[in-house]
Amino acid sequence: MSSAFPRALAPKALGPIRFGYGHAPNVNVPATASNIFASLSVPEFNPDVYRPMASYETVLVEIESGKLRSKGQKTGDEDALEKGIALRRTQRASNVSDAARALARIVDTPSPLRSRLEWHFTNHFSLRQRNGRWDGAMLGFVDEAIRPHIMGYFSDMLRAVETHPAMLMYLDQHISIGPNSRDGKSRKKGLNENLAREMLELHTVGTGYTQTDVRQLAQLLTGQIINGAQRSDFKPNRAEPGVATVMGQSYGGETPPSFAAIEAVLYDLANHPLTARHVSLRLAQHFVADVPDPDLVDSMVDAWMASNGYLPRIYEAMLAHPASWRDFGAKVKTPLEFIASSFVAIGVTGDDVMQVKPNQYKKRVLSPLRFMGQMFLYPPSPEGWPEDAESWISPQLLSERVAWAMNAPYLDRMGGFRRPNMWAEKVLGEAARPELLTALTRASNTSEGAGLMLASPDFQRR
Amino acid sequence: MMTNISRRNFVLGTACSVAAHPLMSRASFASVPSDNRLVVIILRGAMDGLDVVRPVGAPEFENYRKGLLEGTLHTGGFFGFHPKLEPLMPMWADGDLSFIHATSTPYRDVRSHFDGQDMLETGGADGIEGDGWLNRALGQIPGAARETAISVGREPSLILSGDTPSLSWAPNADLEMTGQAQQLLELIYHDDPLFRNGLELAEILSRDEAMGGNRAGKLTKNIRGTRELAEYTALRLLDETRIASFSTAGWDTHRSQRSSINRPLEQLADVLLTLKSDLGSVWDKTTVLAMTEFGRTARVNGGGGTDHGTGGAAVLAGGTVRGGRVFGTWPGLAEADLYNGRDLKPTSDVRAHAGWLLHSLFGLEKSVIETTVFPKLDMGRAPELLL
Repeated sequence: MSSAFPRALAPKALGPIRFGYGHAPNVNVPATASNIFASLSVPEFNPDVYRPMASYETVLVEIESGKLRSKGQKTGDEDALEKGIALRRTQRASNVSDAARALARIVDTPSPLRSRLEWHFTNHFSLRQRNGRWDGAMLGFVDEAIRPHIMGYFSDMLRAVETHPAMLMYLDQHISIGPNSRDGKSRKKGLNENLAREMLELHTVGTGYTQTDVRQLAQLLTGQIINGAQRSDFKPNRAEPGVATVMGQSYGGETPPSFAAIEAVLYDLANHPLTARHVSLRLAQHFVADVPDPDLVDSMVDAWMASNGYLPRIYEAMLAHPASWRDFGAKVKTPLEFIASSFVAIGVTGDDVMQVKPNQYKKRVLSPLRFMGQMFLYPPSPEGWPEDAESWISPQLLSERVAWAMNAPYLDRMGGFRRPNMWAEKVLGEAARPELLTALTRASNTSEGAGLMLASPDFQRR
Repeated sequence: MMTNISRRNFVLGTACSVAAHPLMSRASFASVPSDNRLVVIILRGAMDGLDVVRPVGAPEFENYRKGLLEGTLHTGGFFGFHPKLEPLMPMWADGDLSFIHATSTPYRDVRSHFDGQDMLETGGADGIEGDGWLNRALGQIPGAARETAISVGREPSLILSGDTPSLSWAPNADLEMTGQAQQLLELIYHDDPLFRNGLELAEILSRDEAMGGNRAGKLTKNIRGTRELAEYTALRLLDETRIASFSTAGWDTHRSQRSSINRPLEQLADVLLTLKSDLGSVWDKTTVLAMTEFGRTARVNGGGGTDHGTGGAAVLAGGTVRGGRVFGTWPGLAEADLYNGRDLKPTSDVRAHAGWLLHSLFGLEKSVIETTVFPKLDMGRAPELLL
């Protein structure tokens, strides 16, 4: 039995699918390597959609106030109860509208690659809120720690992420206390290695470190706390005194311990050759293939080392390499990419997304995402969402994709085309197999054909 | 057993073309590792063990639980039951139902549902990452194939996720397509083995569901969803599945517990009765373990509810269990006996109970359970939960 994927595809057809959210019916999406790279510098044009998300600290402070409600319930304090309920309600509505805005940003962006990179690095530094509710705070984290650094140095992104309260909280750094610090001695509390370990294993070098490195890094990271305003702060009284050695370099030793030692180790880790390799590999795995051509990864590492980890140079190297333009369909779109690219293909605009009522947005986007296996901004572990196609196309998850495709929001627009096969030719181009186009002409009605187009592997693979 | 036959034919008829698929490549449809069945139900939200299995013999109980004492089903012993367990009393009398009291995972103090559920499902000392303990157990069962275990329902669940392949299916995740659309989709997927096999298996799983009939149609809204989970679980267990897991929700009864706990309890009772009736004689080989992330406070709060606590209760049902009894060492309810002066003190690790079930039902060695399934767990002595 032959397998239709992966296969060769002309670069112009492949570019928007591999490095963005696919072709749009009425707009020319950047398609060649040079146009895609150039688009990275085009500013966003829809200011309403791109106004900042509610900041992490605001949402967290609101959550704390929301606890008024339960407090009111327990004590019978009617005032507190009412205030709490009202706060919670506005907070919930704004969470959903911020989530909708995140999708509106995707469909409106002049640089689909930049958007894909934002989501990739959000997954590279995978985290979720520990109280389990999706409260919108993660959108603030992405806006504060990831987006500003997509077109900058990896070291700046690393520093922003690893000192952000969301990360401190998720990996227990805020409760890690140097055992020989003043607070550590008096409270008999100690180190928590969670952040140090994941930082080495997942965020930076990936290999080449030992348990001693983890331990020493954990010592260096102590002193970071989350204050009452839900911001990161540094308390020397909690920081482990003395020198620590991580990956052969020594840090710290000041009295009292200083935040500068943390900044120094983060900077060196960001620029470590193993980090260059690990981060480049994960980028190539996300965009190109689960097992990318070693020469492609080498060229990205070279660009990294030559630029001190200036990320645009690494994207440029990836786009320039011939191996990035082979094997269409080796990967499957994540559920978020699937829904976003469906909207792009259908011709849904950011304004359309923003007009969807919160309960409808939940029903038609957030719940389906969850049922397809990708609860919005709530990844299963620090490792993040899986990259391999098999993880996304289990019988159950595939059924959810097909069910969503057959009733996708605004499906009847079909990009302004009258027939599903004509629509497929426009938004898939040569990515559509002749068998698909033939099948679409045989659908019993247009909306059925349109649903089948979105459900096809030709559309779901990239 | 119609299901069985049609399903085999379907799979065999296509097996030649799908050899590359991980499900098919195990080629073990004929071998089933054990005749025993295990159903693990996660009670999400922290079930109040003290309300479900009421220690009416404890002198402090009445004082702690003002407003939550009505309708106790007395057994004549130290414990009574919540009135919503009435439908289960015949099962209790028949010896097919028991409880484990004052039990919990090692999770302490922070009392977050999500960390607690992570701990309950990963079964490890580290609550934040890792695979599910039921998945690790599955990996230790000789002859286990992908269809040996299934996670039922749309609720993402950690307990069966991991490296060992298993099935998952949500009843009602129907494809809901016309015949023509389905045929066209099969055509479109034909040359893509990953999508084709996914669709074929989805069709098999939903066909089995259709064969179970739509008995759930006329039920009250309260129990419809969970009835479907139980019915589908029973169908799978009558086929090649030996381990199934699903979850029920609604146990987080912070206020007005007198009414808010009714619905989840009705669901639990209905799930157990549905499993028993649908499984027929297979019920005698079935063990159901229902467990929750932690218990709730010993005392009722100002809103007529209870807050997040520590020690809770687990439910055991099935033809295999030593029923009609409440297992566990009772810690007492006096102020000094409570954990932190507020919660029922756990006197056992619920993971040990689960471990002993795996030992008895699937022959897993104690040493394997204490290293691979529940790392660093000390299972202690066998509690003899089963006949």
